Formats: sequence, structure tokens, C-alpha cells
Amino acid sequence: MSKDFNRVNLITINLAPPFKKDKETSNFTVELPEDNMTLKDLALHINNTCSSSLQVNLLDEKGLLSASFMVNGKHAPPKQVVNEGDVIVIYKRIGGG
Amino acid sequence: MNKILRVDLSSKTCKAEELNSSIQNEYLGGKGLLAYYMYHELPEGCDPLGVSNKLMVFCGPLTGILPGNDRYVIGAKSPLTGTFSDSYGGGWFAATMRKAGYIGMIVEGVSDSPVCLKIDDEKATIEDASNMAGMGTKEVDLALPGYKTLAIGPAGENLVKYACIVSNAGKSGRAGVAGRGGLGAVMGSKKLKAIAVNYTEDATAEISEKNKDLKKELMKHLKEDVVPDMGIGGNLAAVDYSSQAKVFPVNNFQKGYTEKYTALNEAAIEKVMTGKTSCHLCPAACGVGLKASNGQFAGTSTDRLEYETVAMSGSNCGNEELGPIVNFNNLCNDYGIDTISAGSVIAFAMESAEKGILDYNISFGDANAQMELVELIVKREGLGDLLAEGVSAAAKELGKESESFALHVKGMELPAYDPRGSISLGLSYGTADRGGCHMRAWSIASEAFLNIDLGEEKVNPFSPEGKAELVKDLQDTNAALWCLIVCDNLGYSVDYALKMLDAVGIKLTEEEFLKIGERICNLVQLYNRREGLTREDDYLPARMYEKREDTGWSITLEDYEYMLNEYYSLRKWDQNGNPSDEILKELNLK
Repeated sequence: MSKDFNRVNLITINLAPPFKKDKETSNFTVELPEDNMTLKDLALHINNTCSSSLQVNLLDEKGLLSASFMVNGKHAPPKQVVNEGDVIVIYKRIGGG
Repeated sequence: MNKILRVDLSSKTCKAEELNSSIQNEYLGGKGLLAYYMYHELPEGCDPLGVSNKLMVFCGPLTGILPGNDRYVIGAKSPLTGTFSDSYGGGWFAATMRKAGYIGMIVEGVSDSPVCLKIDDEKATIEDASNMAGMGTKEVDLALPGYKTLAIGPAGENLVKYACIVSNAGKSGRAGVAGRGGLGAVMGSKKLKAIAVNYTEDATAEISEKNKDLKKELMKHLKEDVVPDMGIGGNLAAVDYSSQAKVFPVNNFQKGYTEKYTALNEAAIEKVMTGKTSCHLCPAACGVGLKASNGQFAGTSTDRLEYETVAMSGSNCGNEELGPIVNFNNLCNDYGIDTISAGSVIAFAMESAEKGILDYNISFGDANAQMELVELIVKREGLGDLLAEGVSAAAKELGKESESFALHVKGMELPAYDPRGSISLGLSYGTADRGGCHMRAWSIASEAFLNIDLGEEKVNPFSPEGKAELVKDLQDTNAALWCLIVCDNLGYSVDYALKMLDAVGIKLTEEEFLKIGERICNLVQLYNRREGLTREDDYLPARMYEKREDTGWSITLEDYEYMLNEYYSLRKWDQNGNPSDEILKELNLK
């Protein structure tokens, strides 16, 4: 199957604390650079290309992921593949109290 | 440093055994080891307060070595629920136990008189503690200078079904409370007043030195990326979140909001904060101390206050100021009872009295009567003797519709988030292995609270769709993380857990790590089913299916059963919650 080079794979990102820097930059769209990206791959991409929007990096310099994900309103593990049109919430899992 | 201390209080003997490496490979530490030993060593149907129950204490393979893992788990068959029960605490006990050379201890038998278990490096002795009988946990701790302690108060000695175990109750440094499930009563039934541990030669010295660079990196990560987002510390920010989400319990969960929450929230507490205390190797300092400045019980201070206590003894009992909460916290910690269960039982008594079911002079907001009831419960005098059995037993005795507002699952009182405002939490409570508990899967953070953080609704908190997967995933992940025992406040991800384990020579993939969590959840389910629990025990109290008077919210039985059925299916359990042969083989449990 050939790639449709005219199609732009856009996804929407909503950042929650502690990753969100401010209200203005916490919601944005991102073009998926390649197919079959996982959420963890996406987090690295956002780290590298949207760092001005981040208060805290999604992965640290050793590649350790801190973030948790919701995709289209449902919980999603980091290995889940991202699809065009997905609305992805990135937040931090806390244990509770 | 991977020894398990076997203690027999009947014969007054102690013996150390090396942790079997194949058991550690499958169960790692912490909750994993607890689940393994409880399943394999507790006789079926044993009396929780009898000689055959065992009290177990474990820490994890990272305890004392890398920051954010310095917690202990205490476990036994619960006298409150009859289930597997694991309760966690922070502070300094876990690290000290590990540095003394132990990853855990298993206490069996019953002493004929009050005793204290003392551990000095690898030497363990059982000493007479008759002079400590009746002492509060603070006095016990101070009576053991130079040691880190686990202690019970008079509530544990009197076998109050929700008696707790407190560490470091009197000395400086953050205290820890293993609050839930009545494990203090198990300790009391064995006449074990305290466990005291000290070391002179640090058994973790070599591996700690080897990992000092990683330790520095993690401390930097916690200080820069985690602590700034924690507010004044711990979970006190939850008062604002719960209030905004309208899940903050008021008057025995009759409502979910009070405008008076601003007198109880983080900002109010910060104004009267007196200091902060830390656990071993942690920069968070989440032990928030405060002194009530006005109103009733003005001048009362406490070293550490948490959200659950604020809510369950505060708004849930009709209190609108900090003084009664601070006083209640002090009483419960020193007498050694769980603030969540005690708050719930007293709120139940208040509602029962207001409805004319209970002939006792108490009502919501009557803080003096609330404190008097604490005293009666601890001493098991008058009404206190009934309430000491827990809300489920109290409601059965009182009858007359009181069971409809006895808020428990499997006998353990619900914690301070109303699931009618965040439906996944209902499933979390219903399927928690130890009864009404929010910690196994604090799913509200991925639902109602996440919407608050985002400023708009991205997750429908009233829809059952997709919630079973959320709860299962959180339970499995937490079960794995509690093998280490990662602190819930810090939110270490699985990636961090794997990196830390690798540093101490335990190499796992993400899939293998999460499989361990799933294995633990299934093993505990096998234990609970063996003890006679059924699907019927996985339901919520009646009030949660009723429309709440302020918002009209409820969880319909249809929605709840939809989530429960999907949960069982995802777990590969049958529709009665029995693990299938398929999943047991997959997890090496068959």
C-alpha cells in the first residue's frame, strides 16, 4: 500500500500538569512524522519538537517516560499505536491518597 | 540483605532464612512476597485473630538504596473483611529493616504476655513488653530510643477491627501509618506490642555505593520534575479537586460538596503549617504538620495530616473547621485506629442517631461527641464496643434500613471520594482485593480530576465505557510497583521502575514487569475466593446506586454490572470472578 503524500496525519495534544506550561500552549496539533508510531514514540517526538510547550519533559534525557495517556477519552498504554485524528491527553499518573 | 526473619511468638524463637531466588524472580518483593507467602502459608478459613494467622512485613529490592522506594507493607488475613489485606506505610522503618539485613519478616503464633520484637542487625530477640501495655504509639516509640518502630496502641490491644500500626510515632522524622484492614488488631491478638529495628552495619552499603550516581540522578529528577507539582506536600490538594468535582464526602456521603471546603483545603492548612517531615531518601517532605489556630480545639497540633483524614473526619462528619480534624488525627494515630474507617463509622452513627435508629446523643458537626466516640471505640465501652466491629457489623446489629447507609465494600469502609461523580472509582472500590479501597486503582485521576486539570471534559466521568480496562491496568501496574515499594505520591512510571531494578541486578522487560503485577492480582483473587468471597462481594453499598440529594448523581446497577462483567472478562475470569485455567497457566500459577 503506498503512502498518500498529500494526506497530513494530524493529531491533537492536550497537556495536563506537570507537563503543561501554560494555558495558551497546552493544546496543539502535531503532524505525525511517520506511520505506526506508538504513544511513547510520539512523546519523544513532542519532547524534541515542542519543548517550548512543556513545563517538564515527557521523557528524561535517558529516554525514561514519565507520562500517561488518554486517547479519545479512553485509557491507553504507551505501546498503543497513534492514528490520524486521535485526541491525546498527556498527564502524569499519580498513585493516589 | 534478602533475608526473611521467621518469628514464632508461641515458642519465642527467631530464625532467619534466605529469600528463595525463584520466588523473588516471580514476586520481586513487597506486595508480591506478601501475596506469595499468605497464599501458601495461611491455612484456609483461619481466624484472623487466632493463632494460625500470620503478620507479615515486607519491603522491596530497592528499599534503602534508591530514593522513593522506602516503604513497608504489612499484611495478614483481615479481621475486618476476612480477605487478604495489605497496608502500606512510609517513614524510616522500611529502610532500617533492609539495612539490618532483612527484606521481610513473618510473625506467627501467639505470645502469652505482651512482647516487643527487637532486631539489632541480624540478631533478633523477643522481649517482655508488659510495661508498655496500654501505651499509645507515641509513648511506645519513645520508650525504644535508637530504634525505628512499628507499634500498636490500645486499639490494637483491644482488638478494634480497624486498629492500625504506626511507625516512628514519637521521634523526629516522618511517621507512617499502615492504616487499613485492622492489622493492628492482628498484632494485638498476638500480644505483639512493637517491632523495633536498628542496624550498626548497613547491609545495603555496597550496592548503595555502586548506585550512588543513579541515586543522585533520581533525587535531581524528583526535586526538579516532581516535587514542585506537589503543592505543600502529599495529597492535601485533593480537597480542592474533590470539591470541584463534587465528590468530597459530606455527612456520610449524603452530599458531595460543601462551600466550607475552603476552611479545610491546602491553602487553609498552609496558613497554619508548622513544618514538614520526610521519609528516608526522599526530597518531597510530604509529612505536613499544622496547628489549628481558631474555633474548636484551637491550639491542637499534629505532625502529619492527609486528605483522607481531612475528609472522613471533617466534612463527612459535618465538621467545617480544622481543629476537630487535627484533634481526631492525633487521637487516632496515638490510640492506633484507622482514620478512614473511624471517620466512616462515626458518620454512620451520626446518621443513625439523626434518623432515630440509634439512641445516642450525637449529630453531624458535633465534634465533642465525635471525640468521645473515639474514646469509647478504643476502649470498647458502651456503643464503642459495637462500633469497634466496623460499619458493616454495626449496621447488621442496628437493622432498620441502616444497612442502606453503611458504606463499605467487603466490610471495609469506603475512602473519601464519592464514586457517583467518577464512575470508574466505583469499579475500583468494588474490585479492590482488600475491600473498599481507592489505592489499588486511583482511577479518578484519569477521569474527573483529569478533566479539572485540562479545564474541560475530555473523559466522561459518568460513562462506563472503557473504565474496566483503566481499572485493570492501574491495578496490575500498582501491584507491580508495590513490589518495590514505590511511593504513590511520587508517581514513578514503569520506565523508572525498570531502570531502578536493572541497577540492582533485576533485569525485566516492561511486559515481564506488568505480568508480575497481574500475577499478584490473580494470586490474591485465588486467596480471596478460597476464603469464601463471591461475585456478590464485588458490589457497592446501596447508597451508591441511589440518586444523591444535591446533584442527582447515581451509579445505575446496569452500568455497574456492565463494568464488572467487562472487568472479569478482561481478567479472563468467569462471571463469578474465578480466575480461568487459561490465565493461571499464563501467569505460572497452575
